[in-house]
Amino acid sequence: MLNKLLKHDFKATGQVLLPLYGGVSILVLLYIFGWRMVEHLQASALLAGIPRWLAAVGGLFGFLSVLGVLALFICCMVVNILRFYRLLGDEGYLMFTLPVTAAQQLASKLIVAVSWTVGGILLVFLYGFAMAVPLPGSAPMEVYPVPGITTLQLAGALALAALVALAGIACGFLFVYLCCAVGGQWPQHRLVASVASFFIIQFVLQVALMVVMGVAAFGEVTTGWLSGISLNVYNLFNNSLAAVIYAMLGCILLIMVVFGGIVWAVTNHFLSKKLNLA
Amino acid sequence: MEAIFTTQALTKRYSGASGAALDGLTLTVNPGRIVGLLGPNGSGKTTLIKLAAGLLTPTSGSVCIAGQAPGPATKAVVSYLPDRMALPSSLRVEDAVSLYADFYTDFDKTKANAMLQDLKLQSRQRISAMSKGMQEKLQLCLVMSRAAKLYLLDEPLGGVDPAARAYILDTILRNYNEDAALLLSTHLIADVERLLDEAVILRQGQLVTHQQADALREESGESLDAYFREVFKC
Repeated sequence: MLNKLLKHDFKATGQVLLPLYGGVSILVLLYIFGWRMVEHLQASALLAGIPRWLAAVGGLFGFLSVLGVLALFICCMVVNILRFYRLLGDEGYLMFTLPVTAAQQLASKLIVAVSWTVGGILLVFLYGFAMAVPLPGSAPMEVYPVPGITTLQLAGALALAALVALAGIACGFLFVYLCCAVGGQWPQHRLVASVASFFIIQFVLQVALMVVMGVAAFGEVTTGWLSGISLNVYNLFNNSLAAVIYAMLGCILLIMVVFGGIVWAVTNHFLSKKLNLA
Repeated sequence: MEAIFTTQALTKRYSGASGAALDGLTLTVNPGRIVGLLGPNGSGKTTLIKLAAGLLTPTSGSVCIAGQAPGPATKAVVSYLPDRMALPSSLRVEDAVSLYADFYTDFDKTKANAMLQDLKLQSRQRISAMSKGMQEKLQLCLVMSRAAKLYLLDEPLGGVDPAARAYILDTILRNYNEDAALLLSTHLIADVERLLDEAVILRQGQLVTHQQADALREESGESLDAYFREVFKC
């Protein structure tokens, strides 16, 4: 059933996001194409200087491209949050009477939201690549080595960083879903309750984080336990910079997975055991 | 015969409300029966149907459909018509049909398309471009195109004109699976009276009576509509 939900959710969000992604891509790629063309003409001495009007058009296109990319991510976020929010409104009367579990509903919304966001990020990488790829006849792209780390280790670190980013995106959406689910407990004031939940839960989490950091800092000052652990980790991995980066990213990933797991479980509990559609 | 729908001391209180929307309701509905859920505004009809559809969580007591508590298994055998438009307005008629066909194994696409043709609904038509009455008819077509074990219809005649009411009632009768039970809530008792095998009358969340429609008519010496007007006279 999850694949059917995914099909339905991708189709619904795609109606809004596909034209937007397509439009922004055309705009940005047109800008990059023009920019690269001017660059090529200048390199081949066919164009001595950039005329004022061309610079103005280029600047306008560049500005619109940046706005377009910003709009792409904002719309992606808003569309996906609204899709979940509406699940607890009139659309819930259809979606929650389908023979699927609350966890499947949640999974579908999350996978779709993360996929569109990752799709947007990949597009930005594509724009970056289109801007940086060397023109025919120009010097090839140089890759500068990072001291103390091999290319393979760097690739591993980047892959781990990508996983951390993916977990971060998923946690972000899950957190907003949780706030919507909590807000859904007050069906008559759902929007206000959802927004209030967002700020209250965030405040509580920040206070909790500050307390944990305060305790950790106090422990570090009095016993030096944190430095001890750091040194032990460094020694454990034979003073390898890559291993330390892996350990750090691994810890962040673990924290995100645990946080995301808790938020998922609580949201799923609200959807399956405390559902109260107005 | 095993009951298709039972509630046991079912109570629902909404946060912020002074009283209970449903107060200790115990009810049994057997297959093959068309049951009218009758009562004035705020009597708990919609709450009961929403609890059965799994859209609300009971405060206490239990709901049982085909031997199970509301969940994915019961939703596969319950066909629910809400009292509002639940289909996303961005969908076209054909999208709504394919959504039902995707999720419900008991959905009969041929039957749905035939009903939609009767109603002159174009498959490419968007829901947002339809009138409220047409939207309600579309929802009803989809709901009645399923071979469900329990149909839950919440105010199916709510926003439609008298001419359309006759079509809707005929649609219900023609497409209703005779081994199934149908629980129908309405204020328009005179319109549905001829359909009903049983009547469940609620007042302020409590059961006033649950009887065979004929027995109730015989006992009161008047139609269900007249009986209702007398009981709930303001």
